[in-house]
Amino acid sequence: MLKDLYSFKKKIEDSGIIFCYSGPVSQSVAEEIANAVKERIDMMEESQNLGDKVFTTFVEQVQNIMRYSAEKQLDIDNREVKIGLTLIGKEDNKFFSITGNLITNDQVEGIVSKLEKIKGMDKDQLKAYFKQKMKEEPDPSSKGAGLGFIDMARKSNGLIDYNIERIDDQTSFFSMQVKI
Amino acid sequence: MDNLFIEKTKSTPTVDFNAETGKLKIEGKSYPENAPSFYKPVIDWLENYIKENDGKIEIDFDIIYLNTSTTKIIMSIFNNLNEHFNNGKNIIINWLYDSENEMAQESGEEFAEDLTVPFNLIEKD
Repeated sequence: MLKDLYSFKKKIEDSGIIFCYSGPVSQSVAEEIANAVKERIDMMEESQNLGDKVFTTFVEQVQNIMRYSAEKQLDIDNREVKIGLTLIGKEDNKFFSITGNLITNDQVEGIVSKLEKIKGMDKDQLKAYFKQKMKEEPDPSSKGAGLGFIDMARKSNGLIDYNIERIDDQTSFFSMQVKI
Repeated sequence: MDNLFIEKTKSTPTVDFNAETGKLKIEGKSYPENAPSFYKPVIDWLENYIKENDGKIEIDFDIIYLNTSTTKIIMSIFNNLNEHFNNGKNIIINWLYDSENEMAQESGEEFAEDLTVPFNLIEKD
């Protein structure tokens, strides 16, 4: 590793990555990463709006990991912490925020139907759908407000993409990208 | 009635509700993991305060970031305030945002769309 470090650094820079983390994600880890990324983007951009958007999008994505990841470990206080991967960078003038985490196979259908529903919605449709969901009780499978994916689609003007890779009979790997 | 003061953290705002002066303010970032549990004491305090108070009630919201869990709970706070206003209470909501913070401005504008309670969008310099 030590000998390859310079080429590793070059590889990270060439691919536009400004932050990468893989491991247990607690609220405090999420806060630290979000603030570090925001600081970094504010150094790169004149307007603080881009940094703000990436910050909030990252928070939504990472709080999804905290709620839904099927991979977990116990912290020092014996509390369950979920495990996931986050990757933030800039490519072709757009910031990307990518997350990946294990899910159980019975979560797949729900995630796909939520994401397919908002795919292809235009700005006004997304706004109307967000407001409708904001008034409803979240569906039973939701551990949050049930608004995260819609918010990501709105902040990225529809530039969200996802992939689900089946690992075995129980689990799949869910990855998603939001471009800002 | 006791005042309510909650010190800000990295992901939760300062809550400064002063029952004596009537100055009610929520200020800072709001993206906690569980927004309903953070806002529960805030909602309970407000309900009691409104019940006991027939004068003018003015609340400042100066929130820089909102996660969707916060957006949902703030909307339900506004809906409750709206109902009290429709039932004759004198309530004013001020939504403050930094001139460079487009997201906070847009959030405020969207909240305002569905409310009849006076809702002032105030741009700070």
